[in-house]
Amino acid sequence: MGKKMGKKRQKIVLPPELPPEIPDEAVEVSDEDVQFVSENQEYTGFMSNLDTKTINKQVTRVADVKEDELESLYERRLKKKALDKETEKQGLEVDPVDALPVKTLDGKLHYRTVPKATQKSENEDKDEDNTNNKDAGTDASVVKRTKAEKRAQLKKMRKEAKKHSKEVAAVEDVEQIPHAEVLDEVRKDMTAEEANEKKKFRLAELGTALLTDPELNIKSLKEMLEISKDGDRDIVVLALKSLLAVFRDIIPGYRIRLPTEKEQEMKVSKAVKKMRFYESTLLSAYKAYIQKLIAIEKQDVYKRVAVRCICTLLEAVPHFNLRENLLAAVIRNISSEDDISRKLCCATVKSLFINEGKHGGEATVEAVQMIADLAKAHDCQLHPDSIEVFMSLTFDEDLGKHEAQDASSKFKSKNAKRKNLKEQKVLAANERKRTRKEMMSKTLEEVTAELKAASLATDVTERRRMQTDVLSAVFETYFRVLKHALKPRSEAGSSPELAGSHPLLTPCLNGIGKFCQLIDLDFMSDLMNFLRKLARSGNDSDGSSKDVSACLTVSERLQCCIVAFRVMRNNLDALNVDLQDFFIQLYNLIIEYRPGRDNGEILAEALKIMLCDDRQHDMQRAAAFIKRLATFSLYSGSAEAMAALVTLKHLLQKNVKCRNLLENDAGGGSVSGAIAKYQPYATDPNLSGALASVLWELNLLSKHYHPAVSTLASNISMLSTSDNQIHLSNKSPQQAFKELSLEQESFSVKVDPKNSNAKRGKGNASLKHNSMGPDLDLTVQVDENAVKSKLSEHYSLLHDIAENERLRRELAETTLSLNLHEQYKKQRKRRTK
Amino acid sequence: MAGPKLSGKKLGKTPTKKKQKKEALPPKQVEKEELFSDSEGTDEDFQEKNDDKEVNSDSDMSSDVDDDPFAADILAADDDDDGSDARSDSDVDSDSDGDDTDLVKKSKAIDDEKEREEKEGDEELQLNIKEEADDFRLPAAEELEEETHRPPDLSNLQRRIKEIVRVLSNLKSLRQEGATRKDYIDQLKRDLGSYYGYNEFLIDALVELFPPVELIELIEAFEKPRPISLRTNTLKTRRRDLAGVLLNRGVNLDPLSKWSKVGLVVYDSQVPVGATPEYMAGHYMLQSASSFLPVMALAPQENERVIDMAAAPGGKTTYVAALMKNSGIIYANEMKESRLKSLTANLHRMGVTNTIVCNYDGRQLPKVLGQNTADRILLDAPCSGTGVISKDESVKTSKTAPDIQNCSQLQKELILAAIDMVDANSKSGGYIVYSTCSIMVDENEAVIDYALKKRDVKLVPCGLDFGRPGFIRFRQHRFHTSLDKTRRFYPHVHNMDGFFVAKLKKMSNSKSAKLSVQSEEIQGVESIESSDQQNTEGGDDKHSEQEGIADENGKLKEEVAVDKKRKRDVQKHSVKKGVGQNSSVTKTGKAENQLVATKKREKKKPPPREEIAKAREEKRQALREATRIAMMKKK
Amino acid sequence: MRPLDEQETTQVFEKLHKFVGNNLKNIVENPSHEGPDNSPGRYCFRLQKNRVYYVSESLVKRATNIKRDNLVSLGTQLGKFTKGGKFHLTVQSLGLLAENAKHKVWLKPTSEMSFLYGNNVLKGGVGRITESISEHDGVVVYSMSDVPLGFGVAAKSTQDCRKMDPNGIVVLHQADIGEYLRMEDDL
Repeated sequence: MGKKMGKKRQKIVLPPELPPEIPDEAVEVSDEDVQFVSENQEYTGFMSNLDTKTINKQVTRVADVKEDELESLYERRLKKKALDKETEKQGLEVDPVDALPVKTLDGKLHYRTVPKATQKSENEDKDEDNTNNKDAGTDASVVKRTKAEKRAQLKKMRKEAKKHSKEVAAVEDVEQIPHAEVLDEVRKDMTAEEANEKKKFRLAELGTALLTDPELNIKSLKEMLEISKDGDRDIVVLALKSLLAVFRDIIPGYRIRLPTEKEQEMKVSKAVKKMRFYESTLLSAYKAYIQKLIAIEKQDVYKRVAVRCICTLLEAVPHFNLRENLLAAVIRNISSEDDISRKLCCATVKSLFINEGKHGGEATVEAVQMIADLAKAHDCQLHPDSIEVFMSLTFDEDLGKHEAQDASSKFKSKNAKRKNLKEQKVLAANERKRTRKEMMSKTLEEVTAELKAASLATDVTERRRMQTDVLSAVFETYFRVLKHALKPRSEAGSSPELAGSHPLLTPCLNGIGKFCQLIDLDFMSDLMNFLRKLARSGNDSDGSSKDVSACLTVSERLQCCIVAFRVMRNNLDALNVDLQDFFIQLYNLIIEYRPGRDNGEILAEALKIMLCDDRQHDMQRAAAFIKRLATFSLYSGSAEAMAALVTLKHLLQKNVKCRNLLENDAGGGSVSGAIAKYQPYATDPNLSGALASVLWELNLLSKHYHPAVSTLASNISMLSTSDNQIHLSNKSPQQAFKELSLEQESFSVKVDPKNSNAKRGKGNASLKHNSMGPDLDLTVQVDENAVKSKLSEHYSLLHDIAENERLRRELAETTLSLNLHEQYKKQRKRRTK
Repeated sequence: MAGPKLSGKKLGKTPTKKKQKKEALPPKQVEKEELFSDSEGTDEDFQEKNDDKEVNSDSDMSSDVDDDPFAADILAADDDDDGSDARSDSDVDSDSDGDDTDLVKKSKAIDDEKEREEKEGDEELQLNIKEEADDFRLPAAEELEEETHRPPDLSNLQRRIKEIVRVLSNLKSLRQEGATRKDYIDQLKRDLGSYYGYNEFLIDALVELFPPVELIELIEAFEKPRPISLRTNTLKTRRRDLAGVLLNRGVNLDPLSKWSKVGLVVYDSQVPVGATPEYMAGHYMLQSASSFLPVMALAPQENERVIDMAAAPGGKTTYVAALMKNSGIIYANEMKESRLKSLTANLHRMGVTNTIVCNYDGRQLPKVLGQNTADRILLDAPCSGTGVISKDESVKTSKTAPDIQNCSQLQKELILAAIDMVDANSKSGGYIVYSTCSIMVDENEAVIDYALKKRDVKLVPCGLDFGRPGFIRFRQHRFHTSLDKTRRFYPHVHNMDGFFVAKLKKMSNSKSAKLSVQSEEIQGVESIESSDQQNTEGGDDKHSEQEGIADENGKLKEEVAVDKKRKRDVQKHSVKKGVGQNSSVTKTGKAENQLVATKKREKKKPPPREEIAKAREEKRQALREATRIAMMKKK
Repeated sequence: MRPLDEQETTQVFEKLHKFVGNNLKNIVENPSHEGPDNSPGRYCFRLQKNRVYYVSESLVKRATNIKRDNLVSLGTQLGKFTKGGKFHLTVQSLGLLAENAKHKVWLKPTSEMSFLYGNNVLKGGVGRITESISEHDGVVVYSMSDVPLGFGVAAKSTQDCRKMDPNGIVVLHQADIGEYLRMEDDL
């Protein structure tokens, strides 16, 4: 890793030979280091105070050349120039300083240190950046490794310490004291920058010292903290980072418990006393450090640094004391406007969720609950990421079941109470926000209570208890989001950079979709009600979701339907429920769908889940959907059309009765019941009387400019006669949609050159529908005429139909008038008689 | 001269012959009908007229051609029945006299001799083959006597019936000395009566209708039930789907036949076909094949006003509603309180919503629903039920001559009422379909003929390409020649209940029969004046008998008078400006039609009834003469 | 035959609303297709011999000249008023209800017959059920092939049905098409 950094450095600024690696990197190779030490012990004396670095550096180089990692890192780096820039700046503003070497009393040249330090910091920055915006997994692994080796190192260190006589340590102490004094007086007359240099150097020195033997130099933590209080930004940054590095390494693998009074009195061995001392100091220092971090995290000069440190710490040592404060800080930033810090936080939280081994789950619980509170506090106006993190939670499979049963058993007792509560909730939904909130919290308290009770009732493991807590918190958040989404947009003050008026809705829906098998049955109905309201929200405001301000977008509503089905699918127990309302919604949404505006995949998914996967529908509804899909595919892009047609075909194959639509039969009209005439504008599929109509659309579609569509259409219209095209029917709408929206090259190869450009045009067309390429106009130009001809065909046909209509009407009128005339004459004749 | 054989052949053959003649027509016609049933038939009546005309011409022609054979066989039949004695003697003589001076006679005798010898030769062969008593002889009076005492021995009866039939099939050679055809027939009647348990009257009637061989077939057919058939309710499902569902329920069925798109015939079934969920849901109706026919003949169109004068139990009504797709309006009338429940139940079960069910005596309907208000009327008249003996054994014994007469009377009144309710000027319709489940001529042809005489209606083809044409002549009756457009259906021929269907079109709303009927009775109508004059007086002499009906229908003379006046001046106008526009479009149109029609008819008009009758009389006379002469000669 | 009076109308509508919910609007406002006129107008409710009929206006017009006690039925019978003046839907109304039904239950083929003999619908027999049925709603009962078999009243809400044991009652029987055979005379 270091090597890599070096390369970068060379690119940017001069120093040819690489800076010695920073101690915390040394960790990674410490065992080799130690080997080295143990092999030739005579060196150790001086090695301990100066040469470790270089050795380490050497060894590190050898040690951690991980090609792939380097590559990946390299690419990432290129990707995020911006980040580099600022870090560069940081580096650069430092560079002039270390341009000229500084000579200290003991005559060492120190021009390396600063770049090293800054570099180190930058390295850290960048590492963290990478890891943060990339998978938390690798990151975690790295951390683990360092930890393990760090322990090893610590042990070795002690052994070493014992083995060699104490004078070494003594010497060091002796050395350090004068150092301090000297520094003090020197500081008097030294220029600010020189002072800075000193500090930096000092930092480095202390850091290395600490790493080599934490037990001895533990006190120097304080000093480093002192330095970190410095006014100069760079210094502070450096200090923080070096401290971070230090802590990351020296913090033990256990939680430090400070000795109680009587333990204090108790007589203990020297070693123990020493240990206690060490721990207490470490702890206090750590506390101070954290406080410092949290303090400066407020002021945005340091914000990013602070956040980074906090995250790293939390990630590295979630088991250690003061985790709560760290968590709090992290969660606070989890939806900050600043991308980097937000991403950092999210990554951290995710890693917490994923490897609970480190902290045995408490962290998860706290984190989730905090997020829940956060959502509550900010009235769901957060960044989607902040909810997204829930997706990386994991639960035991049997968890949901268990609770479901348990809750249902409890249900009897609380029945009455729960019922009226439900009712309240139902009306609450359309009441004012405040009351709803109260209602919500009440329910959720109940949830938690119940879940706890459930878990306690059947003596469950600690793990289960924590999981239930987590679960309750998660669903609390989800429910809150749903509730909030029910509010008209105006009320929910939406911040511009958030997608849509309800930023959290999408991740929330996904979450519900993922965890729905864990939902307690009793809350299923409420959940369903919310979803239904959401899905319907478009129609409430006004028929079309044109004005997105008034309601959710089509995609969102589609998603509601999908989730509803997921939920139902995942726990259909014996009873198989028919989600009428959602079908009605879908039926209307299909029309409101606009290729450019809305997400085709979601539509395709909805078609798949609701129409293809679902068990048989009643004839009327199926027919209505078939008819509507056909209409839809007339005006939508080829990709959507394809998806629609595949679904249509599937429906036709599944319910045979609807094949009537394919044949122009007298029976059709009368079979369709009271609605003897197809009503295209009916909002309820059951009332559209689709069976009275005929799928004339297929005829037009078979002239579609896209061969795939046209072929499919034509062989659907063949379906009634020969139903042996199973090979096509096993393709899901999604696949159909994808391959059509993505393919044009695959396409133009397989078609003959003559109309190939027409095809390409189609490819582009479909692409444009998916709002993927505005740059395709020229190609469209190319095949315009081809398309035009096709279109003209379509429209001429349509026009003819209209014409016939008109003629028929005229005829009827004329005949009517004639009759009237006759009757009139007759009457007059009678009168004359 | 083998009268019976010939007659038998004729009866059997004539329809087929006619089919061949008309085969150009019926299929076309049929598919038209089918078209109407689902297309909006605005031009329907126009087409109707057309093929009426064609049919007229055609059928007239055919009837011309058929005239002689008909005459012949009727003649023969008659002889068999009543005046047979004379001829039988003649037979006797012609056989008996061996020695005669007249060469012709001799040679003839010789020829007869020869052929009889060889006949007897192969007769003997047959006899030897089925070793029987060399000859079948009618039981003597005393045998019959004792038969009446002891219980009838069925096997014996059956054997005798077979024998008699055989003998009748070839009377000339097989008859025993001194026994007349009449004897055989009577014996046959007696035996059939006692074997199958028919009463005197019914057997007589049947015997009059059919030659012996066919008679047996018919009676046998009456003994076994018709196959269960059901009709798909197109308001709720389609035949294909229904068939699928029922097959799954273990019902073994097939499409009924080529002439129905909604019929299914059930062979056998694990479940009661009358109690499947589909049945309860009104997806089909259990309905005999024969009762499809009148509705198919009616061919109701959407948005029409239709009256079903005797609706219960609603099988036909629901079919009509289905054809109309619940549009328009149907008055379903039923006189019997007791049958109303089932009627309404069926209507609701089948999802029929366009009906008004009322409970009147059909004869009162015109008063209630008004004159000339309906487009089509279905009159499935109450009848003696002699066609459905297989369903209801009691008919065999219960019915007697007076019953038939009462039925016939009622039916006549009903059909007049029906005609009065139809609007002749209706765009799409103006049709009456009359049907009975009886095979009695008095309840069918006679009624139609009466209607033709009393009202200005004409017969049009039923649009059913099968079934036998109605009788034009039957015993003493002589019916209007267009009666061959009516259709008869028999169990032994069509494997459905005995049935009769006639379709009438109302030509004008006048209460009196008009040109269409009369002009055919009038000899050569050369000049229009004469025809006009004819009409008027025709009108007058109608008027005299008009009164009869007038008061029975509570009809006022004034209208009649008005009608006549209108008619007259219509004629005048048409006289003035040959094919003239007129104050009232419709009327002139009709008048013209009339005239054209009459002209056509004049061109190739069969000799009117009197003529035919006279001619036949002459023939008969001539024959009698011949025989008498022969006898004289002999003496 | 006469139009319904105020409180009769409310009674009828309340009953219908239990089954069809807001589709009641369609029932009242749909243009009728019966009747020979070019514009048959809408449907209307008529009372005849304490039975309520749902008829196209143009049919009503033409039924006026038929004497009250000779008029047996017209259009679709919805139900009848009992002696006590309460209104009951009869099985004839099934068609209308089925077209506009809001709450539906589909029966497994095995349990069709038992329902057609007038028994209640048990959970075991339910093949499918529409979500969001609440207690005492009117429910239309279908066979799995969407043939309407009858109707009844929901004994439990859909949610509660989930937890019921298989022979708990889901729908209380009110009318079924079996009545056409069982009790043709008192329909």
